[in-house]
Amino acid sequence: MILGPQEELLTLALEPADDPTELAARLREALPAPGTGALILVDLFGASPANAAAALLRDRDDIEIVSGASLPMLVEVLAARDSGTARQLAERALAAGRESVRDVGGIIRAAIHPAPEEVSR
Amino acid sequence: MPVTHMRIDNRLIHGQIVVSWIRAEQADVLMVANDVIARDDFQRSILMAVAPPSTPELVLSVDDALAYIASPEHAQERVFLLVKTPADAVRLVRGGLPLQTVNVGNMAFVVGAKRVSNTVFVTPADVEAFVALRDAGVTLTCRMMPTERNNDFMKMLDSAHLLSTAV
Repeated sequence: MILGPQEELLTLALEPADDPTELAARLREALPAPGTGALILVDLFGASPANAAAALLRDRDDIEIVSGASLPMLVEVLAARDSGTARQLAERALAAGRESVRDVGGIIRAAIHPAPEEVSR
Repeated sequence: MPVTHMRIDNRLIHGQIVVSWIRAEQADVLMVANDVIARDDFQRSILMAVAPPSTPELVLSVDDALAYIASPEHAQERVFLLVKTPADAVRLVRGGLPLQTVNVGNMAFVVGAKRVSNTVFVTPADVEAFVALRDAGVTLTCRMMPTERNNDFMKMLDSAHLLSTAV
């Protein structure tokens, strides 16, 4: 809807009955050859998918894992994916995640009803 | 009663534990009792890294967990205790851990396991361990989240026709 179909992008789900070690195995199989690097985005820090991804770090030093996955983060890394290493993409994901958290209500209210000192100017 | 909550969960520390259970039980210490992970520096570091910053965490072998909880020094601590398997729960109870209730959280499907609920699958060996816990006077409950009611886990095993073969 925003960026169109994407290649080399895989989504994996952990269902209630699934064993997280099996998710780690599916992740391991899905990774490109060592040295190519990959960025794994997960939702909650400390949750089973994040822990399963973390387990891959034992054998793979070329992957990065970022939690707090969000659409702004995904859009940022997909747009920048050809221009950086997994580490650089991880940095962009972290920045995009932080910058996208905004107080929409506060911003719009401030625009509609400017603070008194601003009105007086 | 130093152990405020004991949970069997093959995922050990994960979202439900970090977000809901620790707060609900107001635990002072989050303890994982597992012989394999206690010996494996890599797995231990992952578990230590994901624990909520508000709650100190210990990853110990089953024997060390028993020693820690039995020590008078830690008598006032509220321990939230996690094990992967009912067999480890049996070891803790036989090792002298006073437990009234053990809660069954996630038990993922493994080869040979039968379905008890959407999130709990048990092997014949698991059923034997649950029977041993019951016979030791432990009440078995099944709750994913702290807000759920205390389902009687032995009844669930019975309803799934898994109890008769083991008793």
